[in-house]
Amino acid sequence: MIMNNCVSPPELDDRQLLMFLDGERPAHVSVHLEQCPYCRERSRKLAGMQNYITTQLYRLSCPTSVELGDYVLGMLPSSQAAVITAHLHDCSHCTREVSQLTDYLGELLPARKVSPLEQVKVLVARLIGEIGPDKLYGGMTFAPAYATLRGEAPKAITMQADGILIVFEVQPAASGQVTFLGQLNADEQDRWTGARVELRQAGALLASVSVDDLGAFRFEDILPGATELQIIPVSGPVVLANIEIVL
Amino acid sequence: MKPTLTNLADLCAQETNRFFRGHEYDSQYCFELFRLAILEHDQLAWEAVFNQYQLLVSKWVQQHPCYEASGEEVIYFVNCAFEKIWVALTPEKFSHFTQLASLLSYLKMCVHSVIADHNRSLEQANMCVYVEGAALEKKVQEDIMEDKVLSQVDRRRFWDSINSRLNDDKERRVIHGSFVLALKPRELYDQYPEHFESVDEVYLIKQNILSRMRRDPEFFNYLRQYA
Repeated sequence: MIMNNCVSPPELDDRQLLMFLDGERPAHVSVHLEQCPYCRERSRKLAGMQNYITTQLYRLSCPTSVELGDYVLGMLPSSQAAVITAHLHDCSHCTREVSQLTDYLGELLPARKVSPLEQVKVLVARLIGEIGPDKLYGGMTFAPAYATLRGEAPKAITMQADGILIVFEVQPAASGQVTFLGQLNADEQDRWTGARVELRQAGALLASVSVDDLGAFRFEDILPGATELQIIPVSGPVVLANIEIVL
Repeated sequence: MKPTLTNLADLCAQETNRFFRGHEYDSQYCFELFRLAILEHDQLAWEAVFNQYQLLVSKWVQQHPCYEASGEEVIYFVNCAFEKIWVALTPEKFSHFTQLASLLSYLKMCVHSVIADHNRSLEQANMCVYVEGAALEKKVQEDIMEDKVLSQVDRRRFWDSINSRLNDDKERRVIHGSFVLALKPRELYDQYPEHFESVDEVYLIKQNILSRMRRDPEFFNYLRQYA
């Protein structure tokens, strides 16, 4: 039989019961609950109430798993992607799912037999020229860790990897972000149509788009910073470019 | 001469075998099967896609990091993944795809999606605050099993009812963090230290809101057994 009153007043308040239920168990609260059926019953009801509300509302505001998948694959309009990016800032559950999906998609197909040369073939693109409003800087042969791409004046840089030329350009966008554009030219242009282009910053995949049939690709709403680009065709070597985007 | 569907399926299988043997391969036949299935709603093409890729999808299911803990069989998730791509890959989305590899990426994303959905449901069902003492724990569990999850529309209505009774952004942040994100007050404080003075403040806000909800007639039907 549950008593109608606390056997050891003052009764515990809800804040103390909530802390106890969350595992923060001050000794005096534990002792009181051992002795008082009334407060124990209140604790049970509070736990049930919390459980009910959480069961009904859990992840109510989270994007669906398909929306997160479209986000990872770069298939969402930029406005919708921005909403999800903002959500990920606050939601560890969705951040975990996105990270898991990114790793999971890393290897698309079971290993097939490839030649040893093809297995290691990642072509690192090197800066060869910078086209600015004033003059063309050409003939550079150095390969800095990152090529710098400035957004405050429309500029393009050209990088090349094993005969593949890629021109990159940034255009300022709202809120300190940029639109990042690329144009790929290669002898076997068809092989690059539909290639996946992945943009990463600080190791995290931010967006993924495809090369269109004119060799162009585009990323919206990118923050400045050290940026890694991978251009991945269906078959053949991957092109890797490291670019520092500066406003 | 345009190949028949049977020829197309055979050519897709043939080229897929060439791919796995490391030979040059032509992906157009498999891509065309997907196109017929998605854009022209060709049921036979859809069956051919399923037959061609169910083994690959089975491997993907088994490779998923959350598969083993799910308690479900492989075939369950294989069927769910194909159902998912049937619904999710609309003709409008399909226009973004020009290569088979990107279509297969989408199919693999659908495998992840169905496993993630399964996990979300399990997590939701297992949302549980444990009360000290085995007898009490059992009683709380029994109470939870009695409570069924509301429909999505009713969940949204439930949240709107709660939200409309909150006084400010602080209360909104506490309730959203506590019940939508299932964070404890200490975790909420760690995430938003600029919004709260202390963990104790988070507990006080939560206490006040729960107390108001218990006294509110509209929530009585939802919460009467916990009042």
